[in-house]
Amino acid sequence: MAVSTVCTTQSLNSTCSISTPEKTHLGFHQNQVVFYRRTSKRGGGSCVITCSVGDSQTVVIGLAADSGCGKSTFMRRLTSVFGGAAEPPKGGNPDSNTLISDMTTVICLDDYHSLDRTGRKEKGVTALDPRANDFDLMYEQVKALKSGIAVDKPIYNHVTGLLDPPELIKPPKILVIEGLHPMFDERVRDLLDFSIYLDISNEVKFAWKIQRDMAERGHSLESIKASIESRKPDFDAYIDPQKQYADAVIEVLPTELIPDDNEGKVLRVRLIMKEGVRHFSPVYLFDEGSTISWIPCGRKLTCSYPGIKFHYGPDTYFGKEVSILEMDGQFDRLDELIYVESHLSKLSTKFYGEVTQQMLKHADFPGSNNGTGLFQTIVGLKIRDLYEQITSSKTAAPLEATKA
Amino acid sequence: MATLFSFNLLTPRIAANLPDSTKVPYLNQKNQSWKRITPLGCRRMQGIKTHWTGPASDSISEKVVQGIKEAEECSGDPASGDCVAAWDEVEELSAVASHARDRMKDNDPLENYCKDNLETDECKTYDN
Repeated sequence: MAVSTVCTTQSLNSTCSISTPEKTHLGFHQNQVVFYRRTSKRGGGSCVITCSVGDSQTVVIGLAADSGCGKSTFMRRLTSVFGGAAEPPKGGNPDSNTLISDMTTVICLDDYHSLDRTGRKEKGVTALDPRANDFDLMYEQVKALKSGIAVDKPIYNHVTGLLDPPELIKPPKILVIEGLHPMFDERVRDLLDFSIYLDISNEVKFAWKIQRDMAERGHSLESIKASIESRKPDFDAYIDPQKQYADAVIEVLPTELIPDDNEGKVLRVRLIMKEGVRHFSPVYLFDEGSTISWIPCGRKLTCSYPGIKFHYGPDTYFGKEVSILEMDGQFDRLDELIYVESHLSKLSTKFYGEVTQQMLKHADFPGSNNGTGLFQTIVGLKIRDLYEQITSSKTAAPLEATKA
Repeated sequence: MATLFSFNLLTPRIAANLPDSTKVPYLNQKNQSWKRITPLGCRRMQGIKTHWTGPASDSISEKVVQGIKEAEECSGDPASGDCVAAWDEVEELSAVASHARDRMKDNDPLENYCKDNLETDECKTYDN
């Protein structure tokens, strides 16, 4: 089975790296066939060289979220759906932010900071400010990786706050760019095949940061509050507007099941899925397009306090048509999870119980007993489905292109 | 003679343990436990400083504490230009500290050893 994609290069001196043939999952070697065909236009002089190289299309996923909002957990779940654990590149900088597994490479967009920590302090800007980031370099490198060209990506060392020498990143099958600004620059946004935004409400963010930081000596409630408040203007101006561009938004709010709950343990999570996105079909409950309110606890399933409540329905979000699936409450037992999974449709699972299995595999991750873990797992499966659709549509269309 | 012999044995180990001295902030209690297990003949070694790198979070915790102090000193409301960068640094360091803590949790010495040595007695599994 020959897999080939067609790419056209306009300039004669563009560089195209031909990587060594790799084994596909079927065990066959993929050969890279390069066709050269010159067509001279009327008026002479300009040439178009077409070349087809196997396996060069990388699927690019963007994940945007503020610091301390669950990006790392999401990344671990996502890479686990594809199989294998993602680890920092072996033999490289130990403070590298990149994670590499068989199928995926996760790039942290902090590596594209144009100002290091001292530089930002001097100018009085936060990392959230676009002035601290080099969007041109980000666009060039993501574009190169997407077309199958390896890049030397800078490293931002979070421990020292300095920009370290670059590391080589080879184009993977799936590239995930996670950080504060994946959808900020329009050119980068156009390169993304799928984008996700983690929208954590202020109360929940405060509760999570308390959990995270109170273990550190030096932090107090006031310092955590001041830290969040000082970030807010930049966050609202630069990061928050990205959610209108995302294909899927995971919104985390305080629960409505417990009145006056401020511990933030029980969460209400909404998965907002844009309609009409290529290769992405939203998950639904019972009947697609209708509005459903569902409490699974009752005669067939007994849940402990506060129980679980689901809601599904169409809606508009920033002027676009969306479907919203919402879960309020938490899972206590395995059978609650499998019961819920059996009633959701279009999950893109390969077998019955796959969502439950993935959740159990990472039962120690935060959010494994509520909607955050559930929806992150579902989005991971959707991305796998999107990837498979994109790669199969690429194999379907090669020969027609070369005939033209 | 015996002391000299053990002195020789120990010096290479100490030399190997010396990382970049500028990075490590201070000696802590762990060094004293090392002193206790040295053979009696080498008590003269106690005067020599060995550099023990504590868990990464020690130096990072120090940075967090310092960062918070600097940010709190910054006058004016937290959202003004100067303070904003200081609090951003605190946030960044807190994130690094929490990631370091998570990594420490994952570092089970037995699991790490067994990853490479499955056939040893401690790591054999009898599943069927």
